[in-house]
Formats: sequence, structure tokens, C-alpha cells
Amino acid sequence: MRVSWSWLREFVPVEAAPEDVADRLSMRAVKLERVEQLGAGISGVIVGAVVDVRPHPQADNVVLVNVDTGTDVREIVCGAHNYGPGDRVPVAMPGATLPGGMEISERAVRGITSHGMMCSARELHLSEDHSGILILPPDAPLGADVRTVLGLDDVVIEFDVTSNRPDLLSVAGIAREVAAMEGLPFRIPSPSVPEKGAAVSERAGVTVKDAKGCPRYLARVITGLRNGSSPGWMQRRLVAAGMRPISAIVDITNYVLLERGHPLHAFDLAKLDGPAIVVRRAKKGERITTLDDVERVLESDDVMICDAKRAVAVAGIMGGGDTEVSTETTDILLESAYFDPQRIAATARRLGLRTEASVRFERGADVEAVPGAADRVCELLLEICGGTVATGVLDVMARRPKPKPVRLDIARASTLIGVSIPAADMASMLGSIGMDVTSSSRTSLRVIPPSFRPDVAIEEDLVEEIARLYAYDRIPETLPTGGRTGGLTRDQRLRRLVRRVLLGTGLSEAQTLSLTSPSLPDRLGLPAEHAWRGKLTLQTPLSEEESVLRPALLPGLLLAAERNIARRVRSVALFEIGTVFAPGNDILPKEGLSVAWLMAGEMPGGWHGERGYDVFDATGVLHALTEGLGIGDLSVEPSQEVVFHPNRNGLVVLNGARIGQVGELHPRIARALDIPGRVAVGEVLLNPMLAAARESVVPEIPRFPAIERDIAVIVPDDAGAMRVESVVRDAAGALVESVQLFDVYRGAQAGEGQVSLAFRLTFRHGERTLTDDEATSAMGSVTSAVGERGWRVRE
Amino acid sequence: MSDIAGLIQTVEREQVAALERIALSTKVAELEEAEIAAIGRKAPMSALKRELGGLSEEDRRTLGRLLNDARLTIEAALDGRRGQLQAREEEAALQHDSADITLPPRLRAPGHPHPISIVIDRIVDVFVGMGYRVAEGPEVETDFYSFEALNMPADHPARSGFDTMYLSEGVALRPHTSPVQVRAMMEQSPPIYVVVPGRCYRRDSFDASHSPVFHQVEGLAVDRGISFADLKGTLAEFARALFGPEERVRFRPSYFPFTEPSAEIDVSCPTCHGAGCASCGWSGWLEIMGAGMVHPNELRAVGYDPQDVSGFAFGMGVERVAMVAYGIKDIRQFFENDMRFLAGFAG
Ligand SMILES: [Zn+2]
Repeated sequence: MRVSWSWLREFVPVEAAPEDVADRLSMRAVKLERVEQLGAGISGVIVGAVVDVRPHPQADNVVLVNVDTGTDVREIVCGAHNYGPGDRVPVAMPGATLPGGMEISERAVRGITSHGMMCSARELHLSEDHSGILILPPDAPLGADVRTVLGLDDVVIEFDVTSNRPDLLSVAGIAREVAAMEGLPFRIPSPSVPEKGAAVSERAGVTVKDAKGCPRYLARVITGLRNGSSPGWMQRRLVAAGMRPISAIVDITNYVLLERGHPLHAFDLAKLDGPAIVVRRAKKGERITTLDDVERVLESDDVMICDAKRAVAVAGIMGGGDTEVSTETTDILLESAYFDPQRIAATARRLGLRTEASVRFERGADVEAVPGAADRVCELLLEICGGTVATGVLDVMARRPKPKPVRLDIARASTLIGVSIPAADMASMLGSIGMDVTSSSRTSLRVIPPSFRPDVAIEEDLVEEIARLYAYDRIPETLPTGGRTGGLTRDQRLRRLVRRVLLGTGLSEAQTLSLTSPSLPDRLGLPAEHAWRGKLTLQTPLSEEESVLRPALLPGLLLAAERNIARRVRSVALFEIGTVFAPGNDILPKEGLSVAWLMAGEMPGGWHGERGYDVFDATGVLHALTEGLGIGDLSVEPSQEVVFHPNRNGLVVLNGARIGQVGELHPRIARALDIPGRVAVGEVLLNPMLAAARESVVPEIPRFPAIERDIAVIVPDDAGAMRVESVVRDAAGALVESVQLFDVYRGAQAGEGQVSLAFRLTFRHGERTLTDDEATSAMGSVTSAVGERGWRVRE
Repeated sequence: MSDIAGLIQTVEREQVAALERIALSTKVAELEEAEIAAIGRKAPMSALKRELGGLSEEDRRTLGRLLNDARLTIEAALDGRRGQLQAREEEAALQHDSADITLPPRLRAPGHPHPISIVIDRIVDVFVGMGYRVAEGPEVETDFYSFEALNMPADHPARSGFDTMYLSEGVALRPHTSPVQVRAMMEQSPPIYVVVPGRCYRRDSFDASHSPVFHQVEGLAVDRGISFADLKGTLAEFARALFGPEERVRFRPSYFPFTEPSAEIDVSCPTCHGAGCASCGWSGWLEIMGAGMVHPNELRAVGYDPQDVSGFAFGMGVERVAMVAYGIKDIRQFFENDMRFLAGFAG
């Protein structure tokens, strides 16, 4: 809502600086967006009168104009032609500045010096109009500063009005709050309308068939109008408020809308069939072409304004083109009505049509403002357009809504606010904003909210009014008194640990979108049935790119890697902890917490021997996780999964359950994303990991010495190191403390298709020193176990 | 007698020769040769020792002592010289084994946390310090938890498919973390102090200040006698903890359907400390959160009696707070995961 300071002061005699008042109001009622000084940046622009216009000898597209500035007649070269001798125009003198910082100086145009510049409305930042020079009113004094003539000495304050306060969508509404805040009187004059015409009932009729949708409809008839353009002062206020002047009649209804917050509509009486107004529900599929020349299709819940034959307006939103007021219009039917907020909101939303009227009706107009707003329009019409107001009004109201009193418990209000406020102060604060405090006792007030405050319905609403008028700033700062303990749960602590561990492995944290594209799996060449094809699709997505809930985190990380590589980032190392989604058995989908990681490009470390990442970097991250969380029984089993390199990946198995996958991305997929080299990736479900995490224990430090023995086993390539290790460990018996793989050898000594795995076994007894014989005997068992599987011990 | 005198002379000669050779050695390897020559199995002194058995008791004792002394002397000389030579050789080797300490280190550096996570943890930690526990809940919710229990009736604009991303009738991605507050209230009776971080969704197209996916931290305190003054104290304390004690906090009236009275909270701009600059639109203030006293309808919806308990709730956009705290201009940067962007964050 944009409010001119001069307009505001018509209703409240405020003397303080506009900026200060706006700042204070922001703290008490309505958020300040900005304060604009109109005409800011304009200097040295004065009123001139065109003396004569001659062609430029060198150019067809410009003319030479002699302009009388009151002190001299100067020659100006001008590119516009929309004026003639006698017209008053804005003249930027040499040395003048225009908004945006443009400076005017004398300069030659095709050989002839221009002693200044004539300005368009756009050059003065008045409007977007650049079709010609701005013509000033004929009474504008020569040589006067255009800022004064154009009302640019005014200040416009823009407020961000919350949706619960329709009353603040008006100059008077803002003025009422200013008056309450500053302790000043609020005055809004009652319009006086001399009714001289025939009885209105002889000129038109009003029937309301949809009283739910239209609880009140008031019409007046005004005849003999001259619909020219509205006066400059009115246009200036409309423009300052962000509206475009159209014609006197339309401008007047808009002016009253801005002044009082009540929307009105003028129909050309001659174009109304009957002339009669019928308010009814729309027929499903009924059509009307609105003022903006768009054909609208209606639903049966829409409220329609019709004449005797056809629809003439979408109630409370926009009039129809057929009955629109034009410059030829002399007689009008003026509508001032109250429509059901929810019905208007639903229609406006469905039609995608948001107007000054619809915004006010859907937030709740003031049913009691209906006659006053119509009268104010009549008053201005008589003043500006002449004419005669028909006697009486057609006022159809189903039933006057009864104001509902609200009881305010004084003690409870003070307790809720947290500061003790005397009852008398509460009563006077509420009174200052139009509340009717009808009776009070020692403990409570009985308050009737005014009809323009549909948002005030319960005690807490009054508490808010008191708190803000008392000023939030003055309310003390206290803390709740009850003692309590906060903290993180085990899972929340462990999740932070997981983050720290992953950061420690050199991965940076990503946050990718939970919404993905259904075409991504196609781009990656995945089969029709694949875990990365999300099955949960939004009903009305904004774009296909973000329309499916992610079933896994890795696709998002792949896209992040793709973006980084495309931006010439050489090394990508990312992880993400986030929610993944799958269809559930219940009404809600199944949500799981997942952790994924990805490494691509060059490994940082530069000169130490640059190399790319591979599968062991991926398993390294998994190892860091299991070590960090203290998980013992996690294993990685060879697997087939199309996303991964067929021979460099594994299933992650925890307590017999498959919880994820780790390995290298399939080169085909890496190629599809233009990621060079091997891409190390992994993803596991986090909740089973957190559940398996162990609590800290104090380990026993061994007191007796250990015996170490090494053995190298030659096995087929596909035997699997983890399996060989477990054979070795099992055969080594109870005395083995650890089995550590320390060398992997492929080559002549191992043989074709074979690999030599060297293990270091550590034997120890907890109670005594072990003998060499015991270790030797255990190693013998290992040797025979290896032999039983057809493997060889490398000598 | 001449026999023994000759033997003594031999020992003395050998000792002198050995000591000379030791002193003249310039490498540990030469020294080892000198050692073998002087006291090795084939050395003359070792041969003499083997001949002791054929001497008289007295001669044997004299020569034995002499041999022993000579050996000790030679060994001491060897040890001394060896020490010198080893030190010299190590010194020489180290001269060739130099490293440029200013080259990049080998150890892999830790990664960088995401600014959203940093900010969530910091916000959560402030409230945990004030005795709040952390509540979490599903990202897909029913209309009851997302709207109805929050005093947002069926015709509320936010409930339309224009603003909220629906999966099916009445089931949508949560537009705020408030459903978790509702669940927390339904699971326990007051007193309740929770802080709720999480991911939320709104049907917004990406631009510099909008993202369809974003994060919120909301909080809720419901207890006997909770007042607006408590809300002010708690959130002022929080804002100072997050933005620094030198920043100022102010509370402005506002409107939210689920609170009454409602407030918006501004913090003085961390860039200009209230003087006005481009990042605060020359106002000196930045809006960081919304708050208010829990609407009685919301308390009733979860079975609480608004005459018995009261509460306050607050909520803030994590991206917004992070943008204010770090001076980030474009919300899209949070979700691009550019390694160079992430590299800026620590903590
Ligand atoms: Zn600033």
C-alpha cells in the first residue's frame, strides 16, 4: 500500500517528519517498505510555454521550439511533436538534473544549439509514458518549479500490509493507526450528496439472488456526467499510489477505493439492460469478457453481477467490457457492495486475476462502509463531472451482521504479554483504534470490534492489539522460568559424528535437491526397472526437472560432480546426508536417512604423485564410517549392479541386511556425465549404521607378548580377500589376535589368474606368554585349511 | 726371557699400529677393516693369546694383562673413532637428503561442511543450551499436521496446489517444519521446549531469493505462564548468540495464522551494524525470523487447554540466516555444491 503524505494528513493532523512517523508505525502496526521523496533527483526543471514551433533546417525528425520561461524566450531542439503554441511544458534548463542522474547542458543538435530540454513524463519518473512531452495544466505559472506544479514535493510511504488487515489497504486506515499512535484525532468527513434527480427506483432495479455470496448490494444512479480526464491533483495521487489515470469517473471510484479501502464499480447505465442489476451464482461454463479483454469461463461458485439479460461483471473482481464506462458515458449505475471473502478469493485464485478490488474483498471489506463509499464517489462526481444524483439508494442487505462482543480478561492479558498494564490504559488503547469498549469491570472488558476489523474475533486478538499499541519495544525481555534439560538424542549425536568423520576423510558436504528429474535415469542409460527411478511424483510440479522425490542420494551427487567438472573444477570430493523416499504402505511414503559419497577427478596432493580416485577410496570412506561408529560386523560382498563397474563394486552388508553399495561408477555412466577417470562412489542407509554403532568401552591392554607369523596364500583372482582372510582366521584358532593383509601380488610367481595375498597373524594368550610351538602348530592348521580349499602357500 | 720381551714388544707394536690405523681411518668401512686387522680372529694379537698356554705362570700373567689392556685400549679407540666417523657420515648423508618444507603437505586435508549444516547446528546449539531438545519428523506430511492443526483452514491460500507441492490428495511435502511441533505436542504434555530443524518445500521457481527446497529451524515453548516477554527474551538472547552481542534486535508486529500476537524479528545488519548499506537496503536492519504466541486454536487442536498453558513459537529460514551471516547474495549457490564455494566454509 502506497500512501501520499499530503493525503494522509487530510485525516490526521500529524506534524512529525514522514520518515519518523513511518518508522514508528512499522514498530506498532504495519511494516514499512520504503519512504520515497517524489521528484527526488529533479532540479532546475521549470514551467515554460510554447511560443512557436518551426522545422529544423537539417533534420526532419526534430523541430525548433521557442519557449517562454517567464524570464526569457529560448530556443530548444525537440524530438516530440505533441504540443502547440500556448501549451505549458516542463523545461529542463541548462544545469538541471533529472531522476537517474542525467544532467542537462546546452548542446548542438544537427548544428543548432538547444538551450535546454523539454521533458516527457518518463524523463521525470512520473510514469512510463514516453510518447510525447508532458503537457502541464494551463494555469501552471511560468518559471515555477515543476516539482511544485506536479505535486512532487510530496512523500510517498509504502507499507507491506499483512493479509489480516484489509482496513490498512486505505489512506484513511493508515491515518487511523497514525492517529492512535501519535495521540492525535482521526477525522474522516462524511460526504454530503445533494440528491436532485428522480427516485433511483424509477431509474434502475437491484435483485440479489445469491445473498450468501453478496450480503449487501447498494446502487446509486448519477446522470448528466461529463467524463473527461480527472484533475491533476487526483491523477498525481493515483499515480503516486501506483494506479494509472483512465477517465474521471473511473479515477474517482479508484480514488475512493484508495481513500477508504472500499472497492466500487461504475456501469454505463445506457449499456445496462433493464436497467437492472441481478446478483446471482454463475452458471457452470458461463462466459464473460472482462475489462482486460480476456474471456473468462465461470463456475457455479462464482458470484456474478448481471443485468436483465447477461453477465456484466465478475463480482468483486473485474467488470465486463460490454458495460464499461467510456468518454461518451453520461449516466452511470454506481455499485457499492460487500461480497463473501472466501467466494471472491476462490474465484480470483481460479481465474488467476488479482485486482485492487479482489484483494480487498477477499481479505474482508467493511459492510458498513458501503453507503459512505458510494456517497463519497457521488460527492466527487458532482465536483468534477457535474451531473445529478438520483434520489435515494437501492440498498439490498439480507441481514445486518450483528457485532460480536469479545471479553477481555485483564489479568490474563497482562500475563500473556508479560507486563502489567492498567485496565484503563487497555480500554483507551482499544478505543483509539475504533474498538467499542462497551462495559468494563474490575477484571474484564467487553469489547466490540469495529466492522472494518474482521480480524478481531477472540481475546488473543485483543491481546495483540494491546501489545502492539503498548509497543513491543517496551515489553521487557524475560526467559521462561521452569528448569529443564535439553540435549541431543543418541541418533542426533551420532549423525553429527558421521558428518565429522566424513569431513575428516577429505570430503566436503553437499546439499542436493530432494526433487529430481524423471528423465535422469534415461540419461544415465538405466533399465526400465531400477532403484534410481523414483516412484513418487508430484501432482503439480513447477518443472519436470524437479518433479520426482529422490529415491537415493547418489544421483544428486553425480549431477553436482558433473556441474563441478563442467566448471573446470579438477577435484570433486563430496558427501551428503539426507532423506530418501520410497512408496510406503501407509498414506505417507517411507522416508529413510541415507549417506552417500563421491570422489572424482584428481586427488588433491599435487606433486606427491597425482593420481585419480578408485574403488579403494570408496571403500576407505566406508571404513572410516565403520571405524568412527565402532561397527564390527560389516562386510562387503561382490555384487552385480548396473550403476557400478561390474568388477569393482560390492554390496554393503550389515548384520545380514543389505544396506548399500560401494565401488566405482560404471564408466558408461561417468561418460554420460562427462566425468573423466574413475569415479569412486558409495551410498548406505544411515539408520542401520547408527543402530549398530557401539558405545565406548575401555579396551584391555595386553600384558603378555605376542608372536607374529606371516603367510602368503596363492588363490584364484576371484576368491575374494575377505573370504581368504576369514578362512585363515578361522583355521588359526582361538589364540589369533589379528589377521592383517599386508601385501597383494600378481605376477609370474603367483601364476596366471592367481593372486598372492600375504597376511600377518598375531598370536597372543591373555594369561601367559605364548610358546613358539603353539604358534607353529596354529600356522600348521592354517596351511592345511588353505590346502583343503585348493589354494597354495607361497614359499 | 728374551722370548717374553719379544712378545711384549710385539704387543706394543701391534697396539701402536692399530691405534695409528684407527686414527687414520676416514670411513666406517675402513675402521671395520682396521678392527679385523687388530683384534680379529686372524690378528697377531689373537695368535699371541692362543700361545699363552705354553708360557710360565708369571709370563702368562704379564702377557695376558698386557694383551687385555691393549685390546681395551684398541676397542676404546675404535668406539671413539666410529662415533666420529658415523656422525660425519650421517652429516654428509643428511646434506644430500634435503626437503623443501614449503612444498604442499602430503596429508589429505579435511573437507568443508555445508553452510546450511553449520548454521543449523549453531542455531540448534543455542537452544539446546537453553534447555530445548531437538525434534524431527517426516518431510512428507498430511494436511492435518501441515495445516489444520496450525489454524490454517481448508481455504487458506497456502493449502492450494499453487504454493504447496502435493503428492496425492491431502499428502504434501511439508511447507514448514511446523508439523513436527504439532507431533511433539501430541506426543507429550507441557512443559515442552523443542527446536525443530529440517528441510521444507514450497512451489517456488528458482531465482536469487527463492528455492523450491529450503531449510527451516522452528521452535516451540509451551508451559504454564509463558508470556510474550519470554518470547522476546529468548529470541533476543538467541539473536545475540548467533550474530554477536554487539548487534541489536527489534520486534515488529506481524501476522501469522498460527500465532497471536505475532511478531517479526529484525537484527541490525551485521555488515554495517545498523548504519545502512546495500546488503540491508539502507535500512540498517535485516529480517531474520517470525514468531508469536501460539494461537489458542492450535493448542486446542492438540488437546491442550489455552486457559491453562500458553506458549510461543518461532521460525526462521536457514538459507536466509546463512545469507545474512555470510553475506551470500544468491540462494541457488547453496544447492549447486560447487567445490570452490564449499571451500569457503569451516566450523
Ligand atoms: Zn547494512
